[in-house]
Amino acid sequence: MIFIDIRNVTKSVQLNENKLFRLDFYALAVQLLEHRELVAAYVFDTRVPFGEDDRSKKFHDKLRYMGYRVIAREAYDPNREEQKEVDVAMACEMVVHALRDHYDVAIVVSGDRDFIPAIQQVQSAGKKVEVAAFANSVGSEMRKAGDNFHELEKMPLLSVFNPPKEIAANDSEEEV
Amino acid sequence: MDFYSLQKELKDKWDIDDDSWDGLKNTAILTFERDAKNNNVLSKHAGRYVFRDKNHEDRIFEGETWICSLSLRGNYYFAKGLQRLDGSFMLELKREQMEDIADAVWKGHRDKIEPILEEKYKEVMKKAIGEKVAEAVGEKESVIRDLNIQIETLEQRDSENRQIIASLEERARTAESRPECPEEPALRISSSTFRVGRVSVERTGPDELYSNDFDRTRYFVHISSDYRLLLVRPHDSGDVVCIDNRIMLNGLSMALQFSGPTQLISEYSPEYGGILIHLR
Repeated sequence: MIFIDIRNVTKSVQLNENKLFRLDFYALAVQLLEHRELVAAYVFDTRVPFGEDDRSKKFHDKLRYMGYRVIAREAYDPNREEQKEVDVAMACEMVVHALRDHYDVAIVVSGDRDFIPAIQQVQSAGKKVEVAAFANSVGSEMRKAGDNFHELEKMPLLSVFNPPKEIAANDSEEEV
Repeated sequence: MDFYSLQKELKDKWDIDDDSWDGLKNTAILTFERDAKNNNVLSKHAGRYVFRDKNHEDRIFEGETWICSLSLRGNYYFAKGLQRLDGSFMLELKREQMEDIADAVWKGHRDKIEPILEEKYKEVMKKAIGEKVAEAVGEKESVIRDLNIQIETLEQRDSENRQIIASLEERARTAESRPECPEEPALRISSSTFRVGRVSVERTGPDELYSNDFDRTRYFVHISSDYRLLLVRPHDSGDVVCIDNRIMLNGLSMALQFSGPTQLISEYSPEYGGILIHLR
């Protein structure tokens, strides 16, 4: 089962990623799975209260279309630009599924060390935990917390596209 | 109907006896004003002056309207305040009572009230309609935006497909013009998806890669964020178009500087299901 702290990942990938490449969340799940059977993939995020203009809605819908289960809490603090409740929601989900014996391996995609107690609880329930994060957002404690660590910057996860100008130029030449 | 007529009607309706009627008869709705000499606060009832009862002088004030109990002493009435008629009294009315009052006011003063209400509600309706229209326009615009994005994507896909078709037609024309060669195998072994081992990939331009193994029309291409690995995976819905065994990749020159054509270390990776190219 995969658990993604989406803002932690997107924040750290923004530092690496230039505007030409985009993080592919489908590839992320596929490559982390390494041909193992996927029980479920959860994404944790916040959203604005119902009725307000929610810019992340489209992104969440895209993730849902890929097959992710998106859990978006109505707990974004715009003044401090901080997310609330997300870490605890993800930790609870990890522990509850472990205690109900829903999975064998939890893959935690976050470099936030707040998850260490939850990871320890999951491990004490007899489950294996793998941590995946970008090097710029993870400390040594979190690297050691899981049974395995995936360095995301070494995995081909950023989508590359054709140059848009090239296609357009070729297209216009053809039409002439 | 004035208050006295109402009292009489109620007396008949509820069959009130004469003793009770005396009490009811002496109840009136009065508005108190200051007299011309500015000395007393008083009102008038049945042609007589009505003064405030001495115990009620500090309750009833100038400009107020009260339901009063009246007692006649000499030529003057003296009023005891029972209920002040003001905004709070109106608000404490039951809904039916309010409706009765509203009906009575509407029937009696429709010509005066109508223009006031019209002005008031015109503004409210205008605002409400404006909000609804803006909401509907916003929804429509967002739908149009989404459709435009879909159209752009489809147009892009269409232009890519046309390029692929043109390149395949060109290839077919070349093949047709080539003399027949019976020694050549009918099926190319390299077109099989079950390949292992090294693959020859050449970087022919800043953003261009060439390989004989790029024999499909569409690929998904992913790069690692440390710009060391490039994965080229064939897929019918891939974002990257391959024409004449060449793929153009937006931003490749940013990830890795181009200093002339070079062979890149590449292999077919069963783990990733595609060609894995080591950029550094």
